[in-house]
Amino acid sequence: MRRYCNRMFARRYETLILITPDLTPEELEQAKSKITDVVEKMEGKILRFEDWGNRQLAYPVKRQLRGHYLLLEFMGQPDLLNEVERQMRLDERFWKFLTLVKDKRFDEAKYLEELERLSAERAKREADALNGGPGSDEEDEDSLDDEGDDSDLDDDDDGSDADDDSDD
Amino acid sequence: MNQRRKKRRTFHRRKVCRFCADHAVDIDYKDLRLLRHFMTERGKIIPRRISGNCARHQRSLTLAIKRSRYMALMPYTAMTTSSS
Repeated sequence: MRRYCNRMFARRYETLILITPDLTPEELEQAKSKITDVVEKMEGKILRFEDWGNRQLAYPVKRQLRGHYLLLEFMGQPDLLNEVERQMRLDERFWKFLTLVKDKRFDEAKYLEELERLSAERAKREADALNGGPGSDEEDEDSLDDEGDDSDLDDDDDGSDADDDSDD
Repeated sequence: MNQRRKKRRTFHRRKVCRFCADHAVDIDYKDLRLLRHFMTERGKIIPRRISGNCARHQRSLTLAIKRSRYMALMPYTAMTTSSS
């Protein structure tokens, strides 16, 4: 019963995509829009799209040491994610991707509120850091207050949603 | 200081898990700067008896490191000299 009700809620996903670095700018745009088009067509919404650019890989993928990363945050129904991942699997240019479910019951108003709250908190933390900080113990020696991610929601993934095993 | 020194030289430097001490820190697989603190030079995950993390946070940290390894953000192992 409850599970059935859950289907009515959109989810918030975060996908990190590794694509081949040897694309012309036009091809890159085309690859990006390929994903965004699917999301928009299936009543999803892009919440964040970051282009990390060409980066050094920690190990060779497809015999190459560089790759282009895209970070995408979007909301939509679970079948949207399936379609996005299917499209990426079919396309040779997409090497790897990892999707996390960030929120199982996405509510846009709440999401925006959360973003606001987090940025306020961050500002406060930075202000604290400037004033010497409340707890200046030895734990603070390596700077841990990285801006990091904007979500403290549970980023558990369902087994089906994340490909945790490399296929090559 | 001298009186405190025990027979077995124990280091009580980091009794508390870093993530419990500072709730502001999220463990995220994309945060390489953070994850690097918990890996050796060779890319191994530092055990929690050394890092002092609590079980819960060590688990999420391990998961984060494994995720970033999958995405080639972090190495599974140090690269051999020939390929790097």
